[in-house]
Order: sequence, then C-alpha cells, then structure tokens
Amino acid sequence: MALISINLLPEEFIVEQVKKLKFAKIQSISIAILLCTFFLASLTVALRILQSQRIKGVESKLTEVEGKLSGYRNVEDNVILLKNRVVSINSYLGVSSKDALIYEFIEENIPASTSINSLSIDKMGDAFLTLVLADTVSLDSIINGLLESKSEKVKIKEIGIEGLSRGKDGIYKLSLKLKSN
Amino acid sequence: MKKESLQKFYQTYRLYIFPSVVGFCCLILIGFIIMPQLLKLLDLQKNEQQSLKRSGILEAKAAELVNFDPEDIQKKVQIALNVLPSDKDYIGALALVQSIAEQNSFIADSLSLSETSGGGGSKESYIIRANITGPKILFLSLIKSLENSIRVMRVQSIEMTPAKEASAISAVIAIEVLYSTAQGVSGSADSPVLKLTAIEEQLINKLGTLLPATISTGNIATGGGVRGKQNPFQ
Repeated sequence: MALISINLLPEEFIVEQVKKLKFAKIQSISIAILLCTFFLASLTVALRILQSQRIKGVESKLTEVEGKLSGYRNVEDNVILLKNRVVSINSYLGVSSKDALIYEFIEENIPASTSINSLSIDKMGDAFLTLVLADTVSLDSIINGLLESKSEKVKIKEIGIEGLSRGKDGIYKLSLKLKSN
Repeated sequence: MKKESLQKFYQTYRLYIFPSVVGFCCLILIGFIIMPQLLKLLDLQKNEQQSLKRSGILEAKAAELVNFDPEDIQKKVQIALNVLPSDKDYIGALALVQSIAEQNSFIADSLSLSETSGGGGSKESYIIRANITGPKILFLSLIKSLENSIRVMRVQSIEMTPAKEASAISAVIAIEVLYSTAQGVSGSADSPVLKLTAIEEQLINKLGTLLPATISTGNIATGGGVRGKQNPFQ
C-alpha cells in the first residue's frame, strides 16, 4: 500500500529552507578557499624564511672560501706569472731564428773547396755572400747545391749572381744574393 | 535603525556578499603575499644556485692551490724571470753575450745597444749589436749558443767579413734580446688555476739545471732587479 505524504508547511518556509541550505554550501566553499589561500600564503612565507637561512649559510661559506683563497693570492700570482713566462719562453727556446737557419744552410751547402769571403744576412732572411773560388767549374755545383738542397727548414727560392770577378792571381770572386721562403 | 537596515540588506544579499568578501580577501592575500613571495623565492633560487656553484668552484680552486709548493713555484718563477726578465737588464744581457762569445773562443770587440726598429706589436725587445772576432769554424756554434742561451735572444742579422788571420772572421751580429713587463696578476677569484703542461714543466726544470746555482736560488724574484737607468737612450 503506497504512503500518502501531505505537506502542511507554508510555501515561504520551504523557499526559506532552500535559501539557507544554498548559503551554507556557499559559505563552506568560500571558507575552504580562504583557508587554502591562507595555507598557501603561510607556505610561501615559510619557504622564503628557509631559503634566506640557506642563502645566509651559503654566503658565509663563500666568504670563508674567499678568505682562504686570498691567503693563496701570492701563490696564484706566481703561478700565473710562471705560466705566462714559460709559454713565451717555450715559443722561442729551441726554435732557431731565420738568420741562424740560413747561416747553417749556407755552411752546409757550400763545398769545402770554396771559402766564404763575406756574408750578410738581413732581418728578412735575405743573404748576400761573396765566395772565393779557385775555378769557375765549381760555380754550377755551388748554385745547384744551394737550390737542390734537401734541407727541410730552409728553401732557397731565388739565387741572383750580383757579380763575378777574376783577380790577377786567378782567384774568382762570386757575389750571390739568396732569397729564401 | 541603520543597523537593522544593514542587517536586512545583508540577509537579503548574503548569497552574493559573503563570497565576494571572501574572494576579495583571497585576492589581497594572493596579490600582496603569495605572488611577491613566490617571485622572490624563484629569483633567489637562481642566486642560491649560482652562489652554491661559485662556492664549489672556489673550494676546488683552493684545494688545487693547496697542492702547490710555494717555495717550488717561487724558485721556478725566479728561473723564468732570469730567462725572460721583466725589465731590460742591459748589463746582464751584455755580460751574457760577452760570456757566450768567450766560451766560443770569440772576442767581443764592441757591444752596442739600440732599440728595436719598427716597434709595434706586443713584443718587448732591444738590440745588442756585437762586433766580434774569432775562428770561422766556431761561428755557427756561437750563433746556436746565443739562441739557446739562458736568456731569450734571437739573432736578427749577421754581417761577416774576413779578419786579418786566414781562419778568423770578424762579424757584426744584431741580437734581439727579449723581455716582458707583463706581471702575473690573478684575475677574478672564479678564474681557473693555471697549470704547467708536462712539456712546460720539463722546460723549466731543464732551464733550472742550465742556470748557475747562484742565479737560480738568488734574490732575483723581483724581476732581476732594476739596475741603472730604465732606459739609457733617454
């Protein structure tokens, strides 16, 4: 048998109850949002406090290390000075200058029978030399020797004969100009 | 009367007034507390990371510097400053050229000084023009000795003429003597520690053995010591 329900309350009362219920819902949601916001605000503040403490710790450690390093400033300056000097020294030491190489080259490639009367090597590495020869036969061999030398360090690119003279004693003087690479 | 009307107004519109007030409070909290703190937090997070990184670098640098023996470094600096001095040290260079000439059986007839022609560039040098006489067969050895001496020198030009004796020569050698006024000034604290390579270490040790003991342990750390006028040409 079905139950019969009869509402005897006035219509205004029901409307009022519905309104109250709706307000209570809105109120609880609003309070929950407000509490969440409060929680987030206090969380960020707490994180900031923790962070500033951590930063203070790191900074004090940094100051300590910097102080320690300043004690080694003299050593560091010396190490830098040493490094700079050694790099410069290393670029020069053991590396012969062009003039020295050319002189060595001439010494090696002029036959023993020929003597160097005078020699000058300028800054650019150009050499001017006067040779004393017993005969003209060795002329070709001197020039070929200079041009076809197997030297890796010096390569003669041009030989100019500046002069050839013969003295009363039959001795020849040959003036050469050598241009190297 | 006013209170009652306000209460009545609130009762009527409380469905809108309450959430609006709560929303306003939330906005205030977000705008004035959460956002600024959060931005500051993120900003300082970067700084903190940088400080931590810097601290690590400095600690590593300090640990590396501890390993250096100050006395050994000082000794090596003295050797390096003898080979490449920080001042011109004309007297030392002239004495060395004369000594090398003598060692190779040459007589230094005259030694003259002049500034490097052409200038320019960062190279700091001057020229010693040595007028020498000696055996022809030892000339190459003299040139090599000059270029491999315990001071950085380069032969810049050679003029050779026969001397009175048949086996002797007279020569004018222009020797470029190098020096460097650059000092070892450490840069920022973060800059890494410079280290000598094995080759450089070998070179400095070799130079140490070549230098006379009195020089290598002498009081020349200040750059060879300035003697006489800084520039006698002035």
